[in-house]
Amino acid sequence: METVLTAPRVLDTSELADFDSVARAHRPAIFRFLLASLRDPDAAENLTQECLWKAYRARASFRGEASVKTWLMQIAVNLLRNHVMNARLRFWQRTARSGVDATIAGDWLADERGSPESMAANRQMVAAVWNAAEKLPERQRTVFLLRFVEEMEILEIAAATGMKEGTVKSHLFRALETVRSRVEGIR
Amino acid sequence: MEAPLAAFRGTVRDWSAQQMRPAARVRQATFFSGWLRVAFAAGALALVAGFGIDWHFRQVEAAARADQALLESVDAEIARPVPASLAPLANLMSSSDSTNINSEGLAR
Repeated sequence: METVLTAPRVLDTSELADFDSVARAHRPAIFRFLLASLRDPDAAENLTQECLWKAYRARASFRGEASVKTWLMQIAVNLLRNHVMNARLRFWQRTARSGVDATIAGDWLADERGSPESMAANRQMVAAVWNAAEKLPERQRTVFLLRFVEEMEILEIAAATGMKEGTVKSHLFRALETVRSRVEGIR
Repeated sequence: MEAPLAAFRGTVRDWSAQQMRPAARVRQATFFSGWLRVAFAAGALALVAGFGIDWHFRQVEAAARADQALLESVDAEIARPVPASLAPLANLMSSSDSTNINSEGLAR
């Protein structure tokens, strides 16, 4: 299957003139990515605010080399990395104590069509993906979430994470293998 | 893997939409609005100062009027008509203002 790579849209710097609109448009995606990474709504909220604040302060120096979303995700990825490094032990303790239970995540199942049996099977699959993603190494999890939750292209993910395109593909391949083996294990 | 990943994506999106708090507004401060703020503050200060000075002078005028009224009432109290029997003395007192009076208070 041919992989179509789309180059990121060159930013029109006037888009940042109305930062309120920018924040409103992209805040859900930033929060979602951080929440899926940290499994902690409070920490995700704090980092989201910090991300938007950093972006606001840096808006004048931005050169427009990437899309707004990619640029904001780059800031979010760096904040996430620093947060995890600075609080690694606390992070894992918090995840173990109050992290989202996969069964709770399954309650938010998007597609509720189908029989109770198929819905239960879907919930199991979601839980399997959720648990597999949690156990991924940090970089693989970041790439996995940006690709399959935020639906970003490989080049955008590379720009956001500072990785090379080949490295992104490698992480994505390994992450997908791990998740697949977990999902197929329950079938 | 398409179906599990799509279900996972939908779940994460729904969950995060429920967890997200309302956004705080990022207010954009511009150079122009900064000068506006300074001008407004200066104008407000001048207005307050103007009111204060005006109030002060009004208070001074009111006090002066009150003093004048008090003096007039005092004068009215103490300036009684001289009894007829003392009229020559009153005349003497009023004329002594303009006559020669030596250092011992005796008329020359």
